[in-house]
Amino acid sequence: MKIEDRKYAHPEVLVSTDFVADHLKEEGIRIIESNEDQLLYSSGHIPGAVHVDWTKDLNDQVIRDYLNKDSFKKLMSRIGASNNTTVIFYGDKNNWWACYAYWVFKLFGHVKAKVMDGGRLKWEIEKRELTRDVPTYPETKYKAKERDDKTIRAFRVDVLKHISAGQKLVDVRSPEEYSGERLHMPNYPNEGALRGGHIPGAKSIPWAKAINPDDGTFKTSEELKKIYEHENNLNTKDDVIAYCRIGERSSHTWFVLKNLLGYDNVRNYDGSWTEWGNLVGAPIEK
Amino acid sequence: MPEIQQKLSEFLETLSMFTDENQRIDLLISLADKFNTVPEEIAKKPYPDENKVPFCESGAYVWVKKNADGTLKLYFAVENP
Repeated sequence: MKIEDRKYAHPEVLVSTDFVADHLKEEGIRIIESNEDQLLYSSGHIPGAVHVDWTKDLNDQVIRDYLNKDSFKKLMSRIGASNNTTVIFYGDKNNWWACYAYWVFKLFGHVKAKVMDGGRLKWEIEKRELTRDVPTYPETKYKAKERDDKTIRAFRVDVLKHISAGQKLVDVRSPEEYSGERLHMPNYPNEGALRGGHIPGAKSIPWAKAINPDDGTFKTSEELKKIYEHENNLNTKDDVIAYCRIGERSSHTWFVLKNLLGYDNVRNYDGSWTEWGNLVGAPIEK
Repeated sequence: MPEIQQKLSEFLETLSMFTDENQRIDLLISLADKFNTVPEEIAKKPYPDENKVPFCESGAYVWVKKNADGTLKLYFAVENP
């Protein structure tokens, strides 16, 4: 179903592969690839796309936090984006890291940002052009804002307040991680924790429920409402915090709740289980 | 087995000569370019779970067939959605 027919609250933040293909060379657009697999971009990417790597480009290299205002300004300059540029994110793993990068860009208040529905998977399924040519763009002057850590980002102290107030929490990890049966995802042993389980009161809504696995596209508004609202009792008036292990899958769910279902108050707790499951004294449910 | 060990050692030695990250990436990709995915007569998509390599970041699959001379032929496929 076309994006415009899926009845999203903010359909303008999602673009199709057709749209990207038709606007490849357009001035004022910057296509950004963000992946889990670090070799993927180099092995082939959408013509004109730049690589933004979540470990090197979006994270502080010493402390566990995101890049600061000055680094964000330099990043935007490097990829040749101005304050008026529309950035379009896509990537592997059904746009996990594309949504994460989108969320980080929103911490800095970059206005024009979109995600390509279906990510790399859909582009490849449709046998569209991939290139190894790495583009260079003239450096730009970008006016960066201070990072906003209040509106769409939650810290552990916020989560503690949230629990006390009986507000809604969404755990987007696998059911085995939620129950504490697993301390980490099978392929990610370095993202484990000393304790298993979930944050008290959190609902288990694995992130992948929001996408169609065959082509990586987001489900329709009706399908998403069934999952988040009918089955899990969330509604647009709720104050919701989403989390996973390190905040990347939960930024995917944040994107769904915020943009596709139109929730006003939804934050990503990026400390997530790697913090909570190792935090002395933090309450846990199994 | 000794032949494989030798090939792996040689490759590791080559890789260690490249200290620049981009050059290392290029080397790994040039190796990947030589990769031929499993032919359809051996396996078709969707690939079965029993052939999946556990703990691999990408979805990697392997099949083993015995040659007439008793040696083994390995086939691979990789999926990375």
